[in-house]
Amino acid sequence: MAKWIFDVLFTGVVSFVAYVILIAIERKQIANLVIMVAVMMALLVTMQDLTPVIEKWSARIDSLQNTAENISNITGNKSWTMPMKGEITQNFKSKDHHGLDIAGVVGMPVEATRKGQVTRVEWNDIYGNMIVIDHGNGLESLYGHLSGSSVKVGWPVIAGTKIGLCGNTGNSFGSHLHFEIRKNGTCIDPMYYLK
Amino acid sequence: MGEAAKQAFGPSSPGFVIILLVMLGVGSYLGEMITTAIGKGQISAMIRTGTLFSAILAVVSVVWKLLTIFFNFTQGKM
Repeated sequence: MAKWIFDVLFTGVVSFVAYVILIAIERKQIANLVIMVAVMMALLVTMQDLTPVIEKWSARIDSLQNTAENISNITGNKSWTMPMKGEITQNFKSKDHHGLDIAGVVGMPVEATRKGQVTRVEWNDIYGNMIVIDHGNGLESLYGHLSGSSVKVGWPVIAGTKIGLCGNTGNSFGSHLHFEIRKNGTCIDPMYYLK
Repeated sequence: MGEAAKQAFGPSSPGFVIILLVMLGVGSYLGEMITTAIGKGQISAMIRTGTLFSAILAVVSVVWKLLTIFFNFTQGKM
């Protein structure tokens, strides 16, 4: 930071002296060119000198975010967003129904509930068109009965990223989204994580 | 201080153009003074115009260099 201040001040002082000399000898146009070059140099110096500082703070913020995310993944503090707007027509039942059903019309956007990476985009006889997102720490989310997908395997997503469209594919009787959360491969109640 | 000055305004650095512009300005001023004193006003005007063109050319080349550095920087090449 101190280096940046010094560099900018130094450039400014030299340019100012040059400007004053040129004005004194009636070379206003050349003096204006000096100001232009000085401003560009100051911007470049700022970029070069502040980048390491910004990168350092960015790394710290990332680290804090990851820590917060790990904590919320472990505790499940209802921080995950709903994948689609609509009424929940069927809740999680550990034996009969391994996720939530959210009613919606065909073509409604379905969004990722949390930051992660798409690991599966495929057809399944039960889930129809389905997408699975890996959120780390053994947590996965599954979106089933979709009419279409807008992501591919390997794509990173954040909460709110549109990943597909609500549909009525697979073993489904009416347009809806089937949403599951799995922890280490075992289905758990999504309401534990959803806002 | 000396090292910083060398880095920012040394002969191969973009800042050198500021020194060059001052030298051009002073040189053309002296040239103008001399040519006016010996009654060659037309040459004096030519020096002035020529200096301005030279200054613009010098600045354009440096601006090009600075823009190249800037775009390299934004692409993470620095």
